[in-house]
Formats: sequence, C-alpha cells, structure tokens
Amino acid sequence: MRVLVVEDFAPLREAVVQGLDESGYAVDSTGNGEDALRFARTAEYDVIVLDLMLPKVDGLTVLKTLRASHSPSHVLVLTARDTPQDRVKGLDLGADDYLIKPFEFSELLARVRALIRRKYDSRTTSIFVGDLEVDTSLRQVWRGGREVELSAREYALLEYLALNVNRTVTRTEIWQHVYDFNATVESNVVDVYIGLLRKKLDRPGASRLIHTRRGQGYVLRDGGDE
Amino acid sequence: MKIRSLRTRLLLGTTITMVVVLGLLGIAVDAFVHRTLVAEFDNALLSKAQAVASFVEQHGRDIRFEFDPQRMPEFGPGEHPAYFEVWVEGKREDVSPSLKKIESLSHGELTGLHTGFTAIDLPNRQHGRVVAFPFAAYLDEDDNVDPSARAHGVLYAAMGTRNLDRTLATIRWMIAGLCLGAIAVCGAALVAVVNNAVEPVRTVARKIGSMRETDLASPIDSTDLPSELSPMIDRLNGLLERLDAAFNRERAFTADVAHELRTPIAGLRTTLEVCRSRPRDPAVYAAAIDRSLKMIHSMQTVVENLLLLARAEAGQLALVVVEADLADLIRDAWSTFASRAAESKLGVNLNVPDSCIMPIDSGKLRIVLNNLFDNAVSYTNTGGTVDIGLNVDNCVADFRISNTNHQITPTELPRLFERFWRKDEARSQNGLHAGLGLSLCQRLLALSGVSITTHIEQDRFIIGFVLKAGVQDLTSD
Repeated sequence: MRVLVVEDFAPLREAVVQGLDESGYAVDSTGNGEDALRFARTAEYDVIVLDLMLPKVDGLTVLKTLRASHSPSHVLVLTARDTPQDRVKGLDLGADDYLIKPFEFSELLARVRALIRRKYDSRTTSIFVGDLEVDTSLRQVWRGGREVELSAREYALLEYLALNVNRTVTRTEIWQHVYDFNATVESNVVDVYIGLLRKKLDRPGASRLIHTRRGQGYVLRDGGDE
Repeated sequence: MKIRSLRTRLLLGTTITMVVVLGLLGIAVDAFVHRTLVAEFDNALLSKAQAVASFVEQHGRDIRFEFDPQRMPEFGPGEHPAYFEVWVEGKREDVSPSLKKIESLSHGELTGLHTGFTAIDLPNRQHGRVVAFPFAAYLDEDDNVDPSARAHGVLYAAMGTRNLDRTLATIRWMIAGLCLGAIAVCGAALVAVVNNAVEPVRTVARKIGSMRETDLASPIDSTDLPSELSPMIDRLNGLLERLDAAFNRERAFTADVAHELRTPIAGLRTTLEVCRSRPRDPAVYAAAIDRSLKMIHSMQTVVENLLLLARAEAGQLALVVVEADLADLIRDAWSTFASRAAESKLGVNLNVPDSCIMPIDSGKLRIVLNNLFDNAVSYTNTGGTVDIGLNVDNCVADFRISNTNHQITPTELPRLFERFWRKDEARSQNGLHAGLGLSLCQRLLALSGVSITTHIEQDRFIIGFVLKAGVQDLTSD
C-alpha cells in the first residue's frame, strides 16, 4: 500500500515515514503543499497523511484540490489544531479521518489500515481466499491454519492482491501501490516478488492462489486455471 | 466608624439633617410664640399698672391714692390674685389688697426709672411677672399746683403667669409633637424613597453577580438605569471589554503555546515509538537520540523564551548593567552563527569598531543579538548577504543588521513583534522559529526604554536599535 506523508516538521515527517516504511508501506514524503499536489498527480496513493499548516500551499487547499480533482486517495489529516471547528472544516473539505498531534504511532498505523480497508471496501480486518487468511490488522498470513512468514514487501504485495481479490491487477498498479519513489525498481521486480510469494504460499496438494493473466497482470483467487 | 452602606448613609444623613432642621425650626417657633405671648402678657400688665397709677392724685402737697377695688377686683384677695405696690417720692404709698404690708414687689433688676418687666416669684409662691411703671401723680387743675412740683412715683404691678406658662407648655408640646410627627412621616417616606433610589444599584449588583467569566463580551445594559449610574456602568463595561480582550489574548496565547509544543512533542514521541518498535543497531539508537535531543532543545528554547517574556512583562527581570565592550559582545555573539552562515554561503559584512565601552546589560543584550543573528542566518537566501554594523558617535551606539530575501511586506512590519507571528504560518526551519524571538527582543530592550526599529530598503530587511550611554542606554533605573 502506498502512503504519502506531508508534514513540514522534518523530525516528525522522518519518524512517520520510517515507521510506515518498516510496517511495509511504500512511503513518499514532502514538507510542503506544493510538492504534495505534484506527488498526488504523479502517483495514486492509498492514503495521504496530511498536515494542515504547510508552507507554500496550506493543507486545507491541498485537500480541496485533491477532492476537486476526484483523487481516490483517502486523506488522514494530521494537525495540532484540535478545536471542533477545525475538525469540522477539515472533514467538510473531504478529509477521511483526523488525528491530533501528539499521537501514538500505533494509532496512526491503525487509522492508515482502516482507511486502506475502506478504500478497498473491505469491512473486516481479515481477508479469506480459500484456505488463505490475510489479517490486515496483525499483518499476518495463514494458509491451511499454518502461519506463513513474509517480508514486509512480500506482505504488502499479498495484501494488495488480497484487497483486490478476484480482480486482475496490472504490474503498473502493483508497482504504484507497493513501491515508493525511492525504491530501486527493476523491470521484473514485480514478477520476482510474485514468484517468491507463490513459493511461500503454495503447498503440495493445495490449489494455486496467485494466477497470471498473460499480458494483463495477476489475480488472487481460489482455484481456476492459469 | 465608617458606614459602608449607601442606603444607611443616605438615611442617616437625611434623617440627621431633618431632625436638626426641624428641631431648630421648632425652637425658633417656640421662642417666637413665647416672646409674643409674654409681650402680650406684659402689655396687659402694663395697662393694669397704668390704670392703677391713674388713681394717684396730687392735691397741693397731698398725695391721694383712691383705689377702687370694685373696679379692679383682680387685685383683691383670691386664689390667683394680681398685686400692686405704689411708691411716691420714695415712700411706699399703698399696696393692693392682695399684698400684705410686709411683702414687696420691688426687684433688683427694676430701677423704676424706666418701664421694665421681669419674672418674679409672687407672694403666693407662684411664678409671675412684675412691671415697674414710673408715673407722675395726677394734678387737679383747680389746685394750681406748680407742675415742677408734681410728685413722681413708681408703681409695681404683678400677675401670675400660670395660664401663660400652661399655654406656652401646651404650644411647646404641640411644636415638639409636630416636629416628631414630621420626622416620623418624612423618615418613613425617606426609607421608601431611598430604597427606591438604591434599587437600580441592587439591580446592577444582581447583574454583575450573575455574570460568569464567559459573559464578559456581553456588556451590562444601562438603558433603564438612572443617569447617575450610567457613567459607572459605561466604565464598568469598558473594564469588562478590556478584561474580555485580555482573556481572549491569554486564551489565544495558551492555545498558541499548546499548538507550538504539540508538533515537536509529536515528533519526539513518534521518533521514540518507531525507534523502540524493533531491535536496532546502536548507531540507529544514537541517531534517534540525537534527533530527540534536537527537538527537546527546540522545545526548551520555546519554553525559555516564554518564561523570559512572561518575566519581562511582569517586570520581574532585573537589569544588571556594567561597563562592557559592546563591539566585543557583538563579535562574540556572531561567532556562534558564523559557521551556519558559511554553510549557507552567506556574504557577511561585519562592520564593528575595535572597541565600544559603555554601560550595558550584557546578558540580555546577548539574548537580543542571538535572536537577531539567528533570524538573519535562517531567513537569508543561500548566497544572500547579511550586513552587521555598529556606528558609535558621541556616546550613541547605533546597531543595525540587514539581510536579503526577507519576504516581509511593509504592512507586516508591526506584526513582527506579535507573539507567535510568522510570515508563513507553517512551521519552517525545522520548528526552531516559533515566532517569539522578536517579541522577546522588543521586551528586553524596552526594559531600558530602548526601542527596536525595523524597515525595508529595496530588497533588504533592516532591524536595529540605538543605545545612548548615560541617556537611555541599557542601564538600570
């Protein structure tokens, strides 16, 4: 899942980026509203963590512009302003959630996860595909009742496929949602990670879950042919 | 004893005034009535004396007193008789039937040379009045007596004043009763009037009493109040307005402080939480600690500046003025910013004389210089220039610092000294500038009556102050 962090206080921005990155999110960041709008036009972010008091273009203007351009990104407003008027104004302008500084990082993670579930119309924290269970809250995966150990990047890829279960996602979509601007992406990196995932998920006697749609991309579904 | 109640004061004051006025009026009326009635009594007594004196006739050398008791029975014996005593040529000629021979009506106060009256105790032990009436004996023309040989005498006539005293006492009691009645009626009316008069004060007191700290923006309505209270209400409303503004400023200030500290606290907390979320290399921990310390330093700066500001505004900062080298102080303060200026490739012109000894508060002046230098280094564009100058002329030290890339408009110059004001509301420069520095500089310099000035010349923002040794330098009061 890809997240954009827009916060002008560098130490906070860096800490949030590190925490999200270590949680398996592809994270981009910027310290001003102008860059935030440019980033949002360039890539499709699942969640934008947006501070309101930003240099160049303030956060509310960024929010208004995103909503005017029908950006599908869900916006989590992060601000030190805590009056009801501030919250109402932010939510009225299209914010999906509101978090007051200072906050507990685990709460920010939980809200980011909730926004991602909402974006993909997933109402529960667990996604079941056959005997595969992906718990987006615990960020753990089980198949046939046995836990499958995945790296953060592998988990991110599987979670994206699981959130789009039964839908073919292109390599570009995978790349856009799983890798940030700073990632060193080789041409076949998506295929490589798909291969790694298959190795960890597939078991003898069990059906294949990740299917290749030649020339289109990949789809996660229970059963069916390649 | 000081009376605090306005109502009691009004009642007491008006009652005392009323009692005194009515008392004096009563006394005056009583005196007038007494004098009038006594004068009438004396006139009646004199008439009787004259009538009695008319009985004294002179025939040649003989003096005859042919008083007819039938015609004037009041001089006869009785319970309350009148008295007379006739003296002719120094000889007691006769007395009234009511007066015994051994009794006399003469009184020391009455010489007999002129008609005179006085009060006496009558022979029957009652109070009365006596008149001494000098007269000349009646001459019968047929006797051909030489008028120069006419006999002269004094007639003393006295009557009891029992009825007069009773009348006077009755009138006195009537006057006293009327006065007391008037006082009672007026007092009752006064209580009602005063209560009615002070009711608006009670109304205002109730309104003030029901006000809460959140009602300060709602002024007290003085429409229906007496005009005498309007100035007080107007001033009270003015005070409420000022209090409301002060509370709003304090609320805004508190919110600003909270807001200013929230972001670095969020940064600190997130940094530590993320760092603690998994085992890491010692170098990573060290880097996180360094970042945390930097944020703590920034918060500490905000808190210390706030404390200094609060103390300066409360007048709790004492000036410590000693002779010191201002030029040295400027060079020394700048030395801590020189490396940052070099990193930003700033062109710096430090134009400070070798020495400038004058009485200054070095500690506070260093805080001012640090803030000004920090702003200049932080806000000047990379490759821009910073000019620092100190001109000393005849005990006047003119300090100025200017820089390029200020982005301040002339209309924003007055706002530079507002607490927490920043050109861009957003936090910049890693949160190190909270918008308190210039406000603090202004307050610290104001302790010595020194003003900080700002202006814009083309692309340069110039800020400075003038110290006058011995006039308004950084010296104590």
